[in-house]
Amino acid sequence: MAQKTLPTICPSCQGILKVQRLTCTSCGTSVEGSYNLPILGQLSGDDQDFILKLIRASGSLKELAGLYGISYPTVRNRLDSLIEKIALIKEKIEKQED
Amino acid sequence: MTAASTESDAKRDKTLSRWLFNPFYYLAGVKAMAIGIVIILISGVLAFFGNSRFDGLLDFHTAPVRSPFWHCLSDGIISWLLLSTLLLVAGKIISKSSVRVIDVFGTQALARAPYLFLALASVIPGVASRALRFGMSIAANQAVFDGFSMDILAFSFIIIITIAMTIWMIILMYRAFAVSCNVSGSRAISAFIVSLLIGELVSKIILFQLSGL
Repeated sequence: MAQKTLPTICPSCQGILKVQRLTCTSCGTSVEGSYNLPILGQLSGDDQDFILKLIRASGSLKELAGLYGISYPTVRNRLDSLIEKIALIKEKIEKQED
Repeated sequence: MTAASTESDAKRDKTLSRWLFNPFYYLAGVKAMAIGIVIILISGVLAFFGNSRFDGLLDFHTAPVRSPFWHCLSDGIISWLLLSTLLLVAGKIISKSSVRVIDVFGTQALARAPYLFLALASVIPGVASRALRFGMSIAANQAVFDGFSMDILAFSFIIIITIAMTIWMIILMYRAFAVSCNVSGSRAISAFIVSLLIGELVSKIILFQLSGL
């Protein structure tokens, strides 16, 4: 069975989804509220994997390039586009909160 | 055919197309520069034996007499250094990313790889000389088109391969610029075209001064 992915964008209006209920896996207690998803949680699975690998490589883009089998500028360009994505998500959250 | 095999075929096609038109996705920096310089030098040596010159950024010409060895060898190096310098300046101006000199020069060296095939074509026995003979007869209004001849065939072959390799090289040069400087869109295309035109003009002047072409 395919792995479930956390939806972050509303399929109906493209707005940002929020967490409304959290449930304890051992006793079943639920907590309800309105919580923002963390910014990293709003990125795609591929992007999250990229960030995790970057951390594991101690931030070395050169090492990450070797890990992916791609060139240094390709890795750097992907990181640049991730930085842009994060800035956009932050901007969207701030707009929704205003 | 299963969905998995279709997916792996699509992935293989994408990888092949990347290696052909954007090898810089996989290769840049010192490695690309080393491979590129070797290719440029081999192309120069082959051009010498094929009585040809890469006498400009995007030029390839055959001649009745052989040019001095160092002229053939330096043609590619001068063109590479010139365009890389121009694109480095353009990249520094329009890119928001940090641009590494080694990536710009390395990827541009590798982008000249298609001209190796052109140099190889020029050393096929009889091809360059027959193409040149037919080309000169056209220039002198003495060309005879009486059906199939080896001269017409050689001339057509050189023209087609020159156009194909030049287009391929320009695509590679642009992709190299885009990857090494992290630029795209109309600004990147405009900067690339301006750099290419300036490079072509300046390379002609430099090579003329050096070799008295």
